Amino acid sequence: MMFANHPSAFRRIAAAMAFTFALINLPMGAAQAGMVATDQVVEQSAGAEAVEARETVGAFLARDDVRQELQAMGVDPSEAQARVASLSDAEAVDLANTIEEAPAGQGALGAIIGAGVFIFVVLLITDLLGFTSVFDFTNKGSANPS
Amino acid sequence: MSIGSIVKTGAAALRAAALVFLCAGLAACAGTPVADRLTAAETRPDDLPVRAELAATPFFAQTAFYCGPAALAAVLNETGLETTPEALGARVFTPGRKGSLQADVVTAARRAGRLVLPVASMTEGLEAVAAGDPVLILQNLGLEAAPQWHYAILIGYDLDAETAILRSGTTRRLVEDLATLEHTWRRSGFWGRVAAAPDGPVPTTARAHDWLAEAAGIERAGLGAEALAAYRTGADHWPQDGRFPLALGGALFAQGDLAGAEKALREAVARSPSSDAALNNLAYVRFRQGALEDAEELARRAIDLDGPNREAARETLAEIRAARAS
Repeated sequence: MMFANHPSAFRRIAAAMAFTFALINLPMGAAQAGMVATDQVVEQSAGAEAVEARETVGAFLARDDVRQELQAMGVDPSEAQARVASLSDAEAVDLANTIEEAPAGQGALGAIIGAGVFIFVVLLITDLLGFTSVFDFTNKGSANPS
Repeated sequence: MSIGSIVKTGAAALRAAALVFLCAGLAACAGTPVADRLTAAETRPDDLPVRAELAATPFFAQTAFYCGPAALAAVLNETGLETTPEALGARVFTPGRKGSLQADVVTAARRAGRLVLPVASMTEGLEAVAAGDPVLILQNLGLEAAPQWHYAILIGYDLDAETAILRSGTTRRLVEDLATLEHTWRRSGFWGRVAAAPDGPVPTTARAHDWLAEAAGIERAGLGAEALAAYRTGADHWPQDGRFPLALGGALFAQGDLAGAEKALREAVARSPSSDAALNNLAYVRFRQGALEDAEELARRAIDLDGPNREAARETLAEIRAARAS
C-alpha cells in the first residue's frame, strides 16, 4: 500500500476526505446550513473556552480515533460507529485523549484472580480497614438477608 | 478450613500489619471527610433524612465482567423502560477491556431514549436517593495501583448506622460502611448518574444544562420523538431557560416541521432576547417559510447582538439577501 509507511498520514487524509463527504450529506440533528446547532448552544452556555464552529474538523478526527480504538478493542464496526454517533463533539475529543487509560467497570468478580501475592495481601489489609472492598469475606459489616 | 475462616482468624494480626503498611506510606489513603460530615450530629445536613432505602429498585445479578450492563439495566427499568443486561450488553461492554467504559454507559442510555444526569458529589448522591432516584455509580473497589473498577447502584443509606445500601455485583442488598463507599467512590471522582425518562419526572438533583446536554445526546442518537419530549419537559421544568425552546426549534426544523419550529423559536427569543442563536435560527426558519422581510430583520438583530454566533448570522443574512435579490 502506498501509505504503508505512514499510516497516520494516510488516516488523516482519509479522515479529511470522509469529513468532506460528511459535509455533503450531514445526518439529521447535525448542523444545518443557517441554523446554529443545539450542541453549539450547549457548548457556548457551558462557559467553557469558546468553541468555534469550524472546530468540528478536530471533533471529526477525534470521533474517528475513538471509533477505531473501540474496534481495536473488539467492538463490532457498526456498533462502534453507533456509540460514537451519540457523543457530543466535546465528549468525542475528551474520550479520544483518554480512552486508553479510561476505567472500564468489570465488577466484583474475578478481576483480582490474576494478581500477585503481594497485591493480594495489600488488598486484603486495605479491605479489612475499609479502604477497599474487593473481597466478600472481609465485608463483616455487610448484611445480605435475601 | 476455608480461606475465609483462615482470614478471619488472622484478621487481628493483619490489622497490626496494616498499620505498619500505612506508616510506611504504602497505602496512602485519605480520610473520609464526606462520611464524617454526614454522620456527625453537629454537621449533618438538616434537609437530608436520616435514612432512606429504595427497596423497589430492580436488581440484575451481574455475570462475569458485566456489572455495567447489569447496573444500567436496573436504573433504566426504574424509569419505565423494560430492558435487560443481555439486551444492553453489546452497546455497553467492550471486549478488549473486559469491562464497560463510562462513555458507553452514557451513550447506551441515550440510545435507549433515556437521560443519565450526573450527581455533583457524594452528598448529592444521597440526596438523590432520599428524593427517590437510585444512583448508578462507578467505584474502584481496589487501589489506584491495583484498580478494580465496578458499577453499582446506590439505593439507600443510614446516617445513624453510618452505612450505605447498594445493589452490587451478585449481591441484591449490600450494606457497606459509608466510609468505605466514600473511599471506593472517590477514586472515580464520585462519578454517579441518575436516569430519567424524556417525559419526566425531572430528578430533583438534575441541572438544566445536564438535562439539555443529555436530550441533545438522544437527538444525536437519532431518536427524534424522545428528543422532542425531553426538550419539552426541560422547557416546562425550567420556564425561564431559553435554551430548551431553542433546542426544540432546532429539532422540529430538522424533522421538517417549520411551523412548530417557528413557534418554539419565538418562545426562545421571548425567553432569551440576547441569544443570537435564537434570533438567527428564527430568522432562518422564517427564511425557509418564505417570509423574507421578517427573516432579514431578525437576522440583522442577531448580528447586532455581536454574540458568539455572529458569523452564522451573517451567513444567514447573506442567504436571505441573495434570495430577495433574485
